[in-house]
Amino acid sequence: MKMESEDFVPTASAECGLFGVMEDHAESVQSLDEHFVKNPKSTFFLRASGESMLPLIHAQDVLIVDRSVKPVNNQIVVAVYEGELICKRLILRPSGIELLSENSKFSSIYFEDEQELVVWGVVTGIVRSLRL
Amino acid sequence: MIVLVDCNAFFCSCERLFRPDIWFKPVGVLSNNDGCFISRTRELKALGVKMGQPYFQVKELCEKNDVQVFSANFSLYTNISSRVTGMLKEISNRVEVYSIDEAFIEIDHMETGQLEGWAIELRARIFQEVGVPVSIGIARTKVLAKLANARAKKKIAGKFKGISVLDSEEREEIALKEFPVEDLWGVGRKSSLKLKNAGIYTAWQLKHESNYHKIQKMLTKVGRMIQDELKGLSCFPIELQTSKKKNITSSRSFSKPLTTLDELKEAVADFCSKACQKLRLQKSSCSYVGVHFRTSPFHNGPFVQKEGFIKLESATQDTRKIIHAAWLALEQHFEAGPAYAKAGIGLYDLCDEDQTQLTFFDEGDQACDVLLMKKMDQVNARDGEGTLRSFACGGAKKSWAVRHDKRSPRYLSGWTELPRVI
Repeated sequence: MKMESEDFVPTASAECGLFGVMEDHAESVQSLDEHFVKNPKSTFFLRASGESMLPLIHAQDVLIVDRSVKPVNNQIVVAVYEGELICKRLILRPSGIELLSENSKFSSIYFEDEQELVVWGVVTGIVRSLRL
Repeated sequence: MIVLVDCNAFFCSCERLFRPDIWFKPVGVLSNNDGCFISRTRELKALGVKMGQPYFQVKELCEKNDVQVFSANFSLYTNISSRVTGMLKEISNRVEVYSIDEAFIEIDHMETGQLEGWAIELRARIFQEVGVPVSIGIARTKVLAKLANARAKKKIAGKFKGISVLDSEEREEIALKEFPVEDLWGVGRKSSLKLKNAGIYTAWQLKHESNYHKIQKMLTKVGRMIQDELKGLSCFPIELQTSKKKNITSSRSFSKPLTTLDELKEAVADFCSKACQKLRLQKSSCSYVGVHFRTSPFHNGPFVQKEGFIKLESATQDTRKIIHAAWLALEQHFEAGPAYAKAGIGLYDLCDEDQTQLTFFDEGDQACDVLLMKKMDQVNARDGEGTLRSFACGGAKKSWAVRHDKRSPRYLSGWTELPRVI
């Protein structure tokens, strides 16, 4: 038995009107990867846990983290704290750096010397499934 | 100029990426079946653990010093490796990926002094963006770049940490004088003994040895080429295209020895599946299949080693046909009694998939079979190795399967084991 190869796709020929138009105006399919992952080589997906970043970030959310983005004030970052990766909002002050939780029930972490803080990467997107 | 970028203790660095808690602890990675160390951080080397050392010999030492020991997690390492080489390919279109943790790149010459700044920036960028530390050696030829890289590895602090640039003849001369001849790229243990017997102990002495005939006699033509490379004459150009493999093998030591034909058949089918996937990846077909199996040389009792080959009617890349052939060879040579510790298969006489010679009685791989194999490879690439496999490989539970009790999560493949953030 022979099966048709999947490469066999009927192509638009000279006489068809609509097909010809479509070919001229073909655009690439919308890809979430392309839209949210600007730098594939430096982008990693991390899984959020805990409640400290509610309501912005829920437990089980997938964080899109780009290590090539330079962290700036007010950005959500993944930082290193006591041997763990933590997700916080980066606040740069003249007196030092504050890692702020979105959830007011959680207290901030302060760094007087910016040399002490390691920012692992910058969170550039959040992916959450709403499927039950 | 030739640049050699080499990832430091690469497998260990990958293990550390998502684990800040072990950034400053000694880390080691073990080979298949958790046998021997294949990657060690500086901290672990300092404890006296050697490359290739069996884990059981130093288990106590490791536990006492809180050494973080991992089973090899190759899908993690290849993912990180391709990120690093991808970055290098953005810098230069002349990149030779030499191994999973090393790549040569060719760059235009810069003015004296500029190369250091360029290298410092590249090193910092790879560490920042991908997250692994590298060493960078820059020089006129591959042999010199390799030598420079070895020097770079020794610089563990300061502005030029992990960097060594040999961009003038004076710098080369100084570096060569301190460099032991046995550490040169391409000089093996036997060759270095011959050189030492002839009074050549350093790379500098080899470079300036005027009796070429003597070098050629000791180290063959390759020795002369190494000598020329030390003088700055390029003999080993950057190889841009990885040529197709001439043969593909897959073998493994079992976690416990196998005694029955059925068990061996399962294992051999599994090896065939792995090898055939590689075969299709490089768009080749194979017309000669070999099988080998043996007992352990460290075991009491007689040493038994067997091998067999089967010539196929016409070249194929169909896993099922290859398994069939491998089983025929296995059944012909199997002997009940011995406990087999290791087995493997080989695919030989490879040709391009579209240049398959058909025979009168065998039409080669049919379109539907080719499509089936293609779909199988796609599913396995997406959902993990062995998701779709020949029933010949047996069920999921394998008594002989590779042991990797200490393997880190599949951080970068699938969605269930992503690194966690709190």
